[in-house]
Amino acid sequence: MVDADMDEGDIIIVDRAVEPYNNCKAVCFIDGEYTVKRVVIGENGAVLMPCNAHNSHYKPIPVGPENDFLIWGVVTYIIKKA
Amino acid sequence: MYALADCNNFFASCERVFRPELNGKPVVVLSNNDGCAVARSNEAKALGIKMGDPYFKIRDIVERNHVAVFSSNFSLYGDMSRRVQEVLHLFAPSVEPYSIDEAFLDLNGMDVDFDAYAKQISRTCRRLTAIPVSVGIAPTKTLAKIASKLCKQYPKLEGGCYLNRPQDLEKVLKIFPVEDVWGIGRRSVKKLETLGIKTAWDYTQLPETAVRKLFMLPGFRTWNELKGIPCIEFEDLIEPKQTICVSRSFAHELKTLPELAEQVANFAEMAVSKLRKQGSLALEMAVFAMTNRFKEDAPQTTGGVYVTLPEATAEHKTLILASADACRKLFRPGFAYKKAGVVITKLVQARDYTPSLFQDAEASDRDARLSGAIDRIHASFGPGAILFGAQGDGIIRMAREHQSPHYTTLWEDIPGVVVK
Repeated sequence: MVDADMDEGDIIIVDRAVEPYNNCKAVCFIDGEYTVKRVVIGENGAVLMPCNAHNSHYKPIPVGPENDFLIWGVVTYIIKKA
Repeated sequence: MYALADCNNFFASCERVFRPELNGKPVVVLSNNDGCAVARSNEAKALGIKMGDPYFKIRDIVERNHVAVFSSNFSLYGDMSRRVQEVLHLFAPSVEPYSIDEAFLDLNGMDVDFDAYAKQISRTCRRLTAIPVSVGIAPTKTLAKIASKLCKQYPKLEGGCYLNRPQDLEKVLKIFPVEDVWGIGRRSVKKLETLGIKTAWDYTQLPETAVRKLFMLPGFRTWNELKGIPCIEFEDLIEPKQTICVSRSFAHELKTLPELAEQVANFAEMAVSKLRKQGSLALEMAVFAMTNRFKEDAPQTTGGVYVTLPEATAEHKTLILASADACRKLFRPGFAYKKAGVVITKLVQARDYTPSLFQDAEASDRDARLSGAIDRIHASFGPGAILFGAQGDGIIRMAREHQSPHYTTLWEDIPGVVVK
């Protein structure tokens, strides 16, 4: 599945030093693979949403202090394949 | 005040960075040629896998417990080490790497809550590089090393430990085995045993005259350091080696002279790099090669040839050609060579050496300029960028069956992600 910003073959830069901010894209490690998710930060904590709004069959994943390792790093740049 | 930052189970931790599912699982990293275990995660240690255990010995444990096994991936480890160093530079103006996975930080003049600082350094390293690092802060380097070891044993310390209060020092040193103290070597340990000295504390209680007599200056320095008096300068840490050896076992036995000479030339090149790095010159070189002693029904031979060099030298050309020459002398057809090595000995510091009158000044000047150019090319483009003909393709034929991708240094090995 492809995001509005990310296409097959693109290279992304991931920065572990950046604190996840509301609606950022982050590389997460879920079920044994790296997945890009959108991080939504609300009053009750953070939730990992599917990147593509149309993909509603990927359920939101709540992130608390006990599983904050799920977020591997924030995507800071997308390098498009020519 | 000094800090020692020490990565936990470094090679194994590097392998986990891009394989997060291996956190909490047993991981082992093998030495060159997949020979023996050189790094183990805590879970692998708990299974009884010891440092240096040959792979064939632990294969059973590995298979039964689904231990993840990796061949050494030095490009990855070197790059991750560089990243950890960069993070450490955020916390002190002076960072001295001690090994690939340890560095000292000079915190003198800083006025902070050192316990919180140690924990913060550990946390930041972990966040930015995914490598777990134990940080010990103490008045001397020797004590900082002890403090960092404590972090590894006591998770409650949260990766950072500050050791300075006399009552804490006493408590810690009284249970710290003297043989684990940095600077106490095997020979000293034997002497200490006969004296009934078992802990670091016991050592500090020895009278000064006894320490100076029995353990000389190094032992006296360590004694002072344990008592909180800093005496080890950063320069003291790096003693130029007296011999330099580069040897490897081959994945497949080599039966021809050209193949063997090529590998030996590569070992010689690596040895020359180390020699030049420490500013030494060599007067003697030995080349050795042997068959596989574990193959009992195969013909066995071990050959060694010494070459005395006409002048003390650190030039690539002289030493690589000398190695190829020695290899020609020791090679015997009809044997399958499994391991070879180059040892350079009788080293002198370049700055202490006066060349003889009989040296061909023009030739040696040319060679020196060649070596200088090679050094500069290596510095800009990496170790394999330029090779002597004798080195062949420059690749050392070792077994590396379980090597992980070069995640951070090869474009084609960058990890993949899916967008969901």
